Amino acid sequence: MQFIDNKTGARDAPGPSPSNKLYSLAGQMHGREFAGEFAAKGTKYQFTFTPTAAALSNGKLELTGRLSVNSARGGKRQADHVRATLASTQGGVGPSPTRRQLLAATAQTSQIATPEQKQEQAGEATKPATGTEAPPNTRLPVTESTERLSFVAAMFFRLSPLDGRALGVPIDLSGVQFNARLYPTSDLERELQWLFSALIEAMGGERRNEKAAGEYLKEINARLKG
Amino acid sequence: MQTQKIYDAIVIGSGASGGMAAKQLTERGLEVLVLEAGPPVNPDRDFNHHTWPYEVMYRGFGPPGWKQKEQWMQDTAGDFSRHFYVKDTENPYTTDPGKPFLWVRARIVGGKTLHWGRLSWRFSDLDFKAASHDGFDVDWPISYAEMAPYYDQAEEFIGVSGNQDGLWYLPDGRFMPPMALTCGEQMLRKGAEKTGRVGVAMRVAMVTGEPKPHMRPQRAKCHYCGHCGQGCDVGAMFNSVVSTLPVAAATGRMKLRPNSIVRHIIVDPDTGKAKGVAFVDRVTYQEQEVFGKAIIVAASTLESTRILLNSKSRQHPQGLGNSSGVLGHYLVDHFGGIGASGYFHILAGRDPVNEDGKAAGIFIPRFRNLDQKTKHPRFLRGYGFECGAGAGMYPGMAKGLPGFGSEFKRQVRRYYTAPVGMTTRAAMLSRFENYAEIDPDGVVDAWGIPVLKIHIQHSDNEREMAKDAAETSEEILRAAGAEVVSTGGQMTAPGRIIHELGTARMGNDPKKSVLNKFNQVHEVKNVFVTDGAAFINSANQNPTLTILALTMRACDYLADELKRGNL
Repeated sequence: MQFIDNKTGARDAPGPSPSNKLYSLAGQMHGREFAGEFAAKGTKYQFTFTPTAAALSNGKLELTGRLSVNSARGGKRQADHVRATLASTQGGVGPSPTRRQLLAATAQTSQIATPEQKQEQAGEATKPATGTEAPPNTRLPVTESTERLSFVAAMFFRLSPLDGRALGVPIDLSGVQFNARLYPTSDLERELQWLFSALIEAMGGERRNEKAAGEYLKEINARLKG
Repeated sequence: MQTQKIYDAIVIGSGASGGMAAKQLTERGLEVLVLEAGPPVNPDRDFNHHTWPYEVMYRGFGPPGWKQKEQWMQDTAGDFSRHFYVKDTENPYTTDPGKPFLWVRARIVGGKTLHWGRLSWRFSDLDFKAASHDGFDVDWPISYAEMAPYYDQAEEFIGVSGNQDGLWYLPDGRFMPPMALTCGEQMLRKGAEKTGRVGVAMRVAMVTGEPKPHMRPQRAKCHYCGHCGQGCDVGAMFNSVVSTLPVAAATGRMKLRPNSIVRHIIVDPDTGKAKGVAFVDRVTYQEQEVFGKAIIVAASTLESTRILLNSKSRQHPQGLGNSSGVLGHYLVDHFGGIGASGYFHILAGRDPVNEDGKAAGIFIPRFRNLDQKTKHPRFLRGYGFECGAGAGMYPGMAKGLPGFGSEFKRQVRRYYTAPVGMTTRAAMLSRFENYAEIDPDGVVDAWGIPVLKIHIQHSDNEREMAKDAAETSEEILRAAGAEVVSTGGQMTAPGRIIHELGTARMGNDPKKSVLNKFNQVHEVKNVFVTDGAAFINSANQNPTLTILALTMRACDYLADELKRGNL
């Protein structure tokens, strides 16, 4: 079969190598920071974004922090007070994180799963003992990862304009979208994912609640400060 | 002065619909350019159906964390197939809080045909005229009688194995020999019959008889290795790479350009007609334009609609062909996740045989709302069950068995040959309020192309259907003599079944539809949308065979209209 362009194999195809403009960079949450890599003009760069403060700006989450960019060629460069303003989010699908109910009065947290999550964790679809009768199902089935089982898988931020040259990256970084992946592997990351999810739901979901959003924001800031 | 080549047709996408469009149009004498967003594929290198887990570093699980880092929504991607799928880091989309959508996308020559489930059922007039049947929504502007010749052609060309089952609501077709049912599946069929239902061998797009002349030399009979989703390099399963694209290429009239991500369709400002396509090279980021007399959009349901929505112009301020405001709306996906599973004790402890190499199981077709007698009081439309019974290569049932040590191993070996499972495939009602739009907050992909925001949720109709499915699956399993160990489950999130349909629906009324009965955009006569975006409803049957038949039909019409000078 004749391909017009068959130089690049399916397995060997590199990721996007932006010519003059970086449209987006993708990072995964690790502890309090997000880390990832991108390519520009044939060079690979590693970056971290370490937010130190969270606020609401026109009803949208805004993280402020340090962006560090590292490459074999340019070494490590940093930009402080980088603002990441939330544009939109992507809901996750799959096992939901255990929700933590925050007790505002005592500033303690208690780990309480919602009835839906207990059901999910016990496994409505799996029964332990052979021969056990399934309990009668009087409720309508729920859709996975919706309502109280919902969570955010990724957040898409708009970064404040960056100076590519100052960061050692020879392309236009003036309008970069930051794709922040939330996949927690530690308690801190699980707490942050749930807090981000709860905040986003409080600001934009069907159960809009600005007071609760304020509480979640306080908790996020407490964790970002360490 | 160098003039730009003007193709007779530009096809966007090389999957089921795009590949078929290329074949049909080149066979009709048209010069066709196929633009595929993903990279080219080399079956020798890229298909892994015979790769054993012990041959790879991570034993088939891939480097730790790879999926959650880069491809978290690509549900069916595995270590051996992940290069078929998009990277979610580069291809974002957005959703409402609390209402997720799981969007599985292939981006490679061949598209999702490289890993699809291969189930191939016809729709009947119960589906095409569902609204006349129950009063909800509208009928398709076509009937089964109009589609039947194209179903015949599609089945003959791709090769579908199955039985003549004689069910009016699941029409028979042109089949190769069916894949035999396992002992457990035969028991399950008897259980279905005891409860007044029917069980049929799954109809799958697999070569199970002598390959027909047009299939040679690319395709061979299935040898039951069971790893269809990892790439079939003997061509036993239908995919574009071994089937439609080589036939198109052999005409000498097809050019295929991979790594070509379409931004938008170019509209002639004087006529409002499409004149070409603007795309960006996936690797070099070079922007290019190509020109053609007709455009076939076959990028898969939501990507096709995304392209139309991004194709704004003075004449089409809401997106190409969208003066009705309907483009993007009536999004559906089948739901699953509800069913029952257990063991046939009578089958425990027997010598295992190659039951997992079979690419097909047993299907219990829809039995609700077929007629007045089967009318259900709490929901419209219906569902079927995809079922299987027998040993798998990996004893996944071991995870559900209690115990440890030697006794545990004995139990695993004993019950390895005994599991049985049923899962539903259910229709979702088409509703205007389930829709996709260009993300209003400006989110873009790695090439700067605006992405979709997807708004979708189930209704009580689906939930009532799911409750009924949970109850009837248990009933059937018990009637079959199985010990039931799990029932119910959660409804799968929209998107997980990978049968997203609608968003550019066809219809007779341009105020309420995007396409006419020939998949032609009402407002732009030289643009056709031939993939699942055109569907009015989902039925509960898998959609690909209908997509192929619709594509063949639309291409016949397009070729005729082009020859008449009407485009």
